[in-house]
Amino acid sequence: MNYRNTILAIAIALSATICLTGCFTLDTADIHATGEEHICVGNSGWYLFHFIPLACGNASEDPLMPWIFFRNDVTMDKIQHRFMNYANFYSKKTRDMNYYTRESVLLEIPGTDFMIPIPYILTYKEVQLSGVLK
Amino acid sequence: MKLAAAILACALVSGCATVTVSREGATMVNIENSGWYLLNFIPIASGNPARPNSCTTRLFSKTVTLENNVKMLDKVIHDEGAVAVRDINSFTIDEHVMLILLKRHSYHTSAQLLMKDDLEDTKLEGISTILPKEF
Repeated sequence: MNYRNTILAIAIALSATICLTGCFTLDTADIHATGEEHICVGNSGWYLFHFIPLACGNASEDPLMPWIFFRNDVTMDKIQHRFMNYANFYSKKTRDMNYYTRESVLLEIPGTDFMIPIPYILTYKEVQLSGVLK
Repeated sequence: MKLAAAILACALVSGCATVTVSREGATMVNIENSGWYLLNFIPIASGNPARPNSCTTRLFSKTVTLENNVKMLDKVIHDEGAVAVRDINSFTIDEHVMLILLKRHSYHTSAQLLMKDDLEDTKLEGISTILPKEF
């Protein structure tokens, strides 16, 4: 019985980690009508007291892990750096660059409507940058 | 209880791909594709990018991608007869239900289409002209 409980606990912990640690994404698609490329770069993460980074997607060029702990990779600088590196690698010019950011400052258990009405304890942040490469 | 279960089951297979075009003063196109995932990664159902604005759903395939949104944009560009496009913008939204048991993932793309008349009033900087069909 203990063995089953341990496996269950590990599975829940692993699942929660994957769910809560955020994710770095770099999506690209060719726009055939114009001969250009559309790109969307995004990252998200969790913070303690709004400033202390707990976990987020790893925005490094060659990441060992898809997540990084106690480092803030959810910044415009890091996301734009990856965006511009991609553009420079293919020697393309950038255009139509737009940021989309989202913040959640109330402690909410993901997937539930339960919210503690004290803000800035555990906060979630997401930054996305989309643009066109010509 | 059975009714609630039936509604939930219907909701879970109701991924949706929609293309909306507004022609009020300017031709703006908004594209959205959404789908449901089990345990964060396993696709259950998602919108059918081949037939947007219809009640068709793709089961167990990952269609909520930037590539599919851009394909739908390509089709709208040709259908509307646009000669140029600008301000292309995309973003994603994730919503979790019961921790990681279920996730709703949606991809949004918008752009402004420029018609032949619009080009006369617009500087050519910052716009993408449409290539001939052979490209």
